[in-house]
Amino acid sequence: MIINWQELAVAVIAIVVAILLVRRIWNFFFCNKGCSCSECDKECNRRRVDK
Amino acid sequence: MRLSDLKIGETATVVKVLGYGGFRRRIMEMGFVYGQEVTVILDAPLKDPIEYHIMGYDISLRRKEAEMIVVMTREEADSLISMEGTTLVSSDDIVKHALDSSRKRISIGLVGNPNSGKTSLFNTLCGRSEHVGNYSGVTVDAKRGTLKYKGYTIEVTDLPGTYALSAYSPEEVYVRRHLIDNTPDVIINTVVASNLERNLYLTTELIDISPKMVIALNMYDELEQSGAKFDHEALGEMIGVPIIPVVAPTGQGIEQLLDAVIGVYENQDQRVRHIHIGYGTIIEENLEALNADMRQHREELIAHFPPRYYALKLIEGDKEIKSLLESAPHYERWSKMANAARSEIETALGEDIETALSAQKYGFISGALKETYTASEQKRNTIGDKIDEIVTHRIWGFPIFFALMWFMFYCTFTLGAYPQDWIDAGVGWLYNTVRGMMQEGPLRDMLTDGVISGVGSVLVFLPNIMILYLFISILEDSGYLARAAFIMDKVMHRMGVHGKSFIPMIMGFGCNVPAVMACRTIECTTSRIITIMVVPFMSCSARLPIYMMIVGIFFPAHAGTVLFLLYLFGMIMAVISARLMRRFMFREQEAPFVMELSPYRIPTAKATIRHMWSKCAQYLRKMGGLILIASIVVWLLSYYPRPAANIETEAPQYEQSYMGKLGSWCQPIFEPMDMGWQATVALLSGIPAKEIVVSTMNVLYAHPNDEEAESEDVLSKDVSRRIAGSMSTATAVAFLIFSLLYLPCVATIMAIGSELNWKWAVGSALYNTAIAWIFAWLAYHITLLL
Repeated sequence: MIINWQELAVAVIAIVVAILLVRRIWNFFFCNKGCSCSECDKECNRRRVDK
Repeated sequence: MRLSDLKIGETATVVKVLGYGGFRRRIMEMGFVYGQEVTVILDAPLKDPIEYHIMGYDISLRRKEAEMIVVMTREEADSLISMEGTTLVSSDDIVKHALDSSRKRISIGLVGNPNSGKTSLFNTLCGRSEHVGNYSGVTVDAKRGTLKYKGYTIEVTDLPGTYALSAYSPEEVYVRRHLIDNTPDVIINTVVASNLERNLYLTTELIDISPKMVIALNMYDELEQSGAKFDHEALGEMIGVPIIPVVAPTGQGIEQLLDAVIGVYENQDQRVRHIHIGYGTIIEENLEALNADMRQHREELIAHFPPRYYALKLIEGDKEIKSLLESAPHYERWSKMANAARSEIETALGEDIETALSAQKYGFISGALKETYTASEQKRNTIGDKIDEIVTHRIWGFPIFFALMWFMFYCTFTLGAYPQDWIDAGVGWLYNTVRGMMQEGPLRDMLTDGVISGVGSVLVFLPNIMILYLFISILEDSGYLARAAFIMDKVMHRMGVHGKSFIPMIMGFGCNVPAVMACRTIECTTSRIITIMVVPFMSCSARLPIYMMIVGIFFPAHAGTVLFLLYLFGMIMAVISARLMRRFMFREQEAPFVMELSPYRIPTAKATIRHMWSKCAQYLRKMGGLILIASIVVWLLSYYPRPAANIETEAPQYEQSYMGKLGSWCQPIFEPMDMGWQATVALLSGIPAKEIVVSTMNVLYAHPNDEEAESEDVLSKDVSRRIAGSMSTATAVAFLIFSLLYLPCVATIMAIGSELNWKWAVGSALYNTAIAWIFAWLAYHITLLL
């Protein structure tokens, strides 16, 4: 089977985007309680790392 | 005697609770109300807190709190009865009688500017009973006197004349100390009717400390003789303080003044209401953080004044207040927050904090008087007055406002067109370069049609956003926006909300989220709810790229005017919705409030650029985050599934994609407006953030049509051409109207939820979307008829 490197790259990007999207949605609804600014987002991620 | 003076095991009866606002309410809720017996149980090792027994349970109070509760012991009751010469046998009767007489004892502090006729009023009130007392350590003295009126014993203290309550002069320090140490039950603020503006400055300071207050409008006869007109009742209602016209030397109005004092003391005066002096967006934003922190640790404050007052004074750098708070455990943090807030305010406004605060106070007074006072022959001299005469003119005010709005949108479109073209050319170059450099394949398509086309299409509108924010910053910082709110006041009143609601609505042009939060300054609950609910109709800057794209394609010759009309239509919808809500949901009348008219100032380049840049940086960050992610997601869904190489389908590939299927599924919603599936999907994608509508349109239309498949020329102009080919003018109008009115972004819905509750948030989303669909449909059919 020949692996198309562009397909592979797109698949990797799609997975990364999906993770980012889920994390953002989680942060928005359950961590920042409605704030979508990058500062709050960073704060949420920092808190997650601290835990 | 104060509760804190009682010793362990002693019992006394509560006479009254001193202090103001939330503190007083909380203490009374604990049971410290008139006539309740309280016993001291024990002192903590450091004499603080003290444990008391009241109403069958034990409660501990800090010494500072206990100092604010006036009590009467049995010994005090006996001595009072013997002084009065009343003969009573029963112990209960003695206490009850003593309490009644103590309850009917009102202490009054007479506060006013020098030469405001305080002494004259004091003499009229107290007749010959006054005595002069010297107070050691200060260079000022106060007079005290008593009078009896309608069964009440009124103790009046004539305090030294002062212009403010800061800690700059001995008089100011003395008056404030008196208010802290003696906590008069009611303050009479003497205001000279012939010099309202200067005299009311002290009133604004007194309002900040939130006492029970009555204004004695002295020398009212001079005002009447001058021919000036002053609606003192309206002003009293606006600031929540009864205003009684008096002529102190003749005694005119004195009885009404005393009646008002008793009414206020007994909490029976309906006019009494605590308001906040609005200090403008920049100061309020910085003040709020410190205020919130101090509110959380309210028990550390001396209970005489509200936390907001302490926060304000700390930011102002008031030494007296600093020394009062030094012992508080959180003082260090507060001090740091106050310093940071001060430097932030001074940098943003380009002036020192004292100047900024007094300018805002005078703005409050100016607004209050503009609505209630008409000078007779007094000539207006200052440049600000002359400008005000023009921009708040009852005929010219509106055309000037609308002309400025039109000019703002015209410049946003026309001036923005040049840098927009440069960025567009840059994005096109990048698109072609990447396309030329890479081999054909999905990664190349994702980078070009997804990322560059999607993010680039939003980036193109950055100059327009910058210009719009530049205008909003200049209008806000110069003081014009406050005037715009002022002239809109009458219209807004007719629509059922206060003119003050107009400021958050204008802020909504920038972003709906801070606009919803800014509604906190509207004290009247119903007005606040109405304003929050109509803010989403104000077109935020995130919707601007949608208009720019569609207007640029369909109405290039009249772009500025169409933009202006769109914003105007949003405002009209907001106003109509407010009227309907007031008519059918909140029938009660809202309380009148003062419209602050801050003095005009030339906006500093630094503050304006800073303001503008912070908004643009937010826009850019959104592009690198949410819009980038959304562009890739939209591209992925519109690119996959790929048809197998050996299968030929009749429909183009992108219509077979997930996005195409989703679009076809949703398309019936917009079928009556002849909207294609791309436009339908784009509108749906705008729910997280409105800019995504533009990036989605660009990603979806970046797929060439079948006949164009061989063409390599796929720059943004071709996307525009494809959009123009896929919808009629009537559909474009419907698309614009729907984008303007439909549910706000998720962040705004969440903001509404947290400011009100989730029912309102969901209600707002549903209401906006329903209205949007109906008006889009109407717009479509009306345009078809034209």
